[in-house]
Amino acid sequence: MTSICFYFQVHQPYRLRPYHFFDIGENVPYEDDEKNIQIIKKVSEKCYIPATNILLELIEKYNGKFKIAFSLSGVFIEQAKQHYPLVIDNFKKLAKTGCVEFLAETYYHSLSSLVSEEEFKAQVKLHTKLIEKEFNYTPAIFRNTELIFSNHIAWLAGEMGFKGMLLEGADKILDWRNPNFVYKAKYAPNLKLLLKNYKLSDDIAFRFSEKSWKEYPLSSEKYAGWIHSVAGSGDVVNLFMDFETFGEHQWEDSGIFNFLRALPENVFKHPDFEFLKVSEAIEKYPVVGDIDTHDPVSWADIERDLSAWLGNNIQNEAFRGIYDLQQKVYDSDNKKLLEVFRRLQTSDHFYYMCTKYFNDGDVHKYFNPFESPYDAYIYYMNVLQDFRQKLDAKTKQINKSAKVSKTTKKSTLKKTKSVKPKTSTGYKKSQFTTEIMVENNIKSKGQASNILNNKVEKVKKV
Amino acid sequence: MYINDLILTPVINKYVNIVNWISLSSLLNFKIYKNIITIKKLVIGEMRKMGKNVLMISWEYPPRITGGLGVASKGLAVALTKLGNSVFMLLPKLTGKEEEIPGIHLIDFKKTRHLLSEDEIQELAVKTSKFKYYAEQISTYGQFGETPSSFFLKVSSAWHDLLKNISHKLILKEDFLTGNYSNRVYDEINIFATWAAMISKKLDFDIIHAHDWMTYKAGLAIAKISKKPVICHVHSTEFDRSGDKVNQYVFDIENNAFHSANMNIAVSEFTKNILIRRYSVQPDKIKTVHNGVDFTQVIEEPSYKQKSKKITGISKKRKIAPKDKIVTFVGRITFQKGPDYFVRAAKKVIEEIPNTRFVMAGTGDMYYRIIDMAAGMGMGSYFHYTGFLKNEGVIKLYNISDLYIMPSVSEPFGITPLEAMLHKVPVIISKQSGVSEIIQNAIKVDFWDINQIANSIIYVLKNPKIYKKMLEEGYTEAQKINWITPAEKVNSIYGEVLR
Repeated sequence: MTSICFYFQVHQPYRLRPYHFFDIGENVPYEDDEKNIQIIKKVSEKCYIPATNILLELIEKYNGKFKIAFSLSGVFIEQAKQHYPLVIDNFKKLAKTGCVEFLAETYYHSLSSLVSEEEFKAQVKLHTKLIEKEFNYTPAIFRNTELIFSNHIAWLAGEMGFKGMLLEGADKILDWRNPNFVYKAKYAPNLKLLLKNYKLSDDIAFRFSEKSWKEYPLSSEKYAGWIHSVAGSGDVVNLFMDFETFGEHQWEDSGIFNFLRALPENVFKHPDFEFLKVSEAIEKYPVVGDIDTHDPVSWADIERDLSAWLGNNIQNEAFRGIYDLQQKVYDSDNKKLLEVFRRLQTSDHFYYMCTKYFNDGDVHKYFNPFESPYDAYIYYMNVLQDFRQKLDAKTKQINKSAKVSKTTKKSTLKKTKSVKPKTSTGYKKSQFTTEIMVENNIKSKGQASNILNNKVEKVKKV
Repeated sequence: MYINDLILTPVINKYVNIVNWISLSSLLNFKIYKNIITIKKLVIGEMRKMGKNVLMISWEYPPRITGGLGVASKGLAVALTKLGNSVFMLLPKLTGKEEEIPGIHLIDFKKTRHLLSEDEIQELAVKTSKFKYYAEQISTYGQFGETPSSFFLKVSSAWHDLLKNISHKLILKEDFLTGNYSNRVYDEINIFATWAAMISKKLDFDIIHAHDWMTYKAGLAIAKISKKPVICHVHSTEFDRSGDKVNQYVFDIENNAFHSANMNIAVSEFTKNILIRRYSVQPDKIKTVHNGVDFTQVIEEPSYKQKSKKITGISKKRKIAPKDKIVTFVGRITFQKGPDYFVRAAKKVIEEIPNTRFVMAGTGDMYYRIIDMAAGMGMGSYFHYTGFLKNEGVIKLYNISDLYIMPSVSEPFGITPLEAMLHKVPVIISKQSGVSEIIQNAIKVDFWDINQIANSIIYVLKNPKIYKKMLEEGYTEAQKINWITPAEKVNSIYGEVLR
């Protein structure tokens, strides 16, 4: 038997507005509400609604044999709930069929796994809570933002109790091996891994409507044939892609919906093929090998690394800028500020600052709400400054109240005391990991992996 | 007759196509336009008073400006009228939003289009590269086997009409003369020169005064026809703009103009030296007239209120970075302005005074490189960029700035430090600037000496006494600078040249 694991990523960021220097300190909102609402509505109509309807149809038609997995970012769920609740209703329907698995990720679709264990764990927990609340489902499998994976992150996921994790089937980590088997993480032996079959996945996600492609137009018969060719040489075929592929990246007139509708039928023509949820697949098949990479791997661009988010000076500065504020945010002990802090961590902000292929007008440009990566950076840094000022103002208030409480010697003293020790340790940690991150991305990679290595070992000893 | 038709048909067909292509509507517009336009008196004999009639030629004029050139030519023109002169100001393109000032007559191409004769229109149109393109398209139809001369006789009248029409269409196009610095600028300065010479015949003037290289061709062309003296006013040279990698075409225009002109005016000794050293102009053919500042543009009572608390001792808070000190750069982010020295100096300042912020206003070909450079040096959170700011924006920025830096590599004059001083912002300026020759209450540094720049910034920010002294005395000093003194100098140069 060979199993097909479909997994779709659903995410929409809160995009920032062009935030001018003179907006700093003037209480100008950070996010471009109008644009965000417009986009969530547009994508819902073009993609989320029609695509979920088709999936519902298929699940009913094949009576439990057609199974899929979803990962919905927290910021997507928030926005959809508020501006297009029908989408959430459809996901709830999907949840009720029992044929849909929901995966865990960071609520804010952030890159926190790279620098801040505290933030990372908090955001994953928040997300799990949200999925439990909305869909009555407890995720057991983890997928990190943009499928970013490294030994350290795998270890974190394992520590949080996840049974499995998804990642990119990048050549550089697989080498001669192929992605169609279950693997495990080298430093988290209980964490089983499913690797994206990027060739077959990208045939749908990127090449489907590419007219210069020699396989164009791609029929579901032909595609099912490619999947069938795995028979005998693999256990699982992992087809991971953005859900927006259906109707948004590949428009309806490309025939993508008909392709999706007809695919299961053609897959089932071969009696040895089935669809499985990812948690079923990792149970069913034996582990064939270890995945070992200190350098983070992602599913983005040809490089399959972090360079789409942290590949140049401006991205690294913005990234450092936001995580430098972590301690102040924790100190402020304010829910609103924490929320703002986390929304600013969404990976898309850094993606917009990517200068790779800036001149080619490719996929990076397609998604960028700003004119240039530098504009994205300038506005982000202005927002960051405004946020920093708000934090400072808040810290001042706290200090004042602390002073007042000292003079009155009342119970408020306890509160301020209890805040401090918690934070001082957290600060060190985040600083340490920031250093690692920066080195890892800009400077010598070997050195950085050594540091990471040491860190993993240290943590193990503890 | 029969043969003629045969030959002409394709020509005429093509002609019709082209007419359609350029669009008939513009033809209609032209007729309407011609009727509507009522041009103000251009031939003004009676206005001749005690003063002289100056034919000024500039490429920029406020509000449409990219740098100091437009501001300076306006400031000078206004002051000259106050001394009893009247000024014709020839410009490539007006926006219609220019301030109306008695004694200054703004003339652009559009205003004078209907005054041009058919021949003149054609002469102008021929200067554009598009014309060649159209004409080539038509001329390919001329190759139908006949001898060129017989063919030309037959088609000449049609040909003539054709040229006429194309010419009309071309000069009606919005982009015929834009006054921008696009890649068409060489085309445009030639058109501009030809047009200026035509229009000058209709004007009564004593002297020609051309500002910067874009207008030197026009100045010389007018001088040739009118036999009147021409003065080249040098606001910047190719060496200021491009360093040692000069554009030969621009250099040649400048070089020719400086030597052909009856007199040159340099905006500083610094620029005069460049003319002597780099263009071998005779020193007695150059006069230095430093620029002034138009004080009326500045808000009357510049306020302390948004300055940082520690420095001015006044507690009203600024909204942007209230706890920090703001050091500002205003200008195009190009090689000439030395933005990279600003960034390098900033690094040293931050090591000493961590709560310093650096704001850069302006854009230019080094914009992205500078942003990347500051980020690469780990100063992302210390730098802010406003992009291009209009006048109000710049004033807003001065009002929140604690210190202004002008690290120009080569600045013929540099008006912004004076503006900053008028807004009670102390300034640090490079010695390689004209403005450093006329102000005392500023710290003057070599643009390349990053340590000196950084140390000066630290010194001023850490010494409230010095800061206050620079602020107060700089303000008083800048207030004394106006356009009247330079205008008087220019006026006497006119007298000398006309003698």
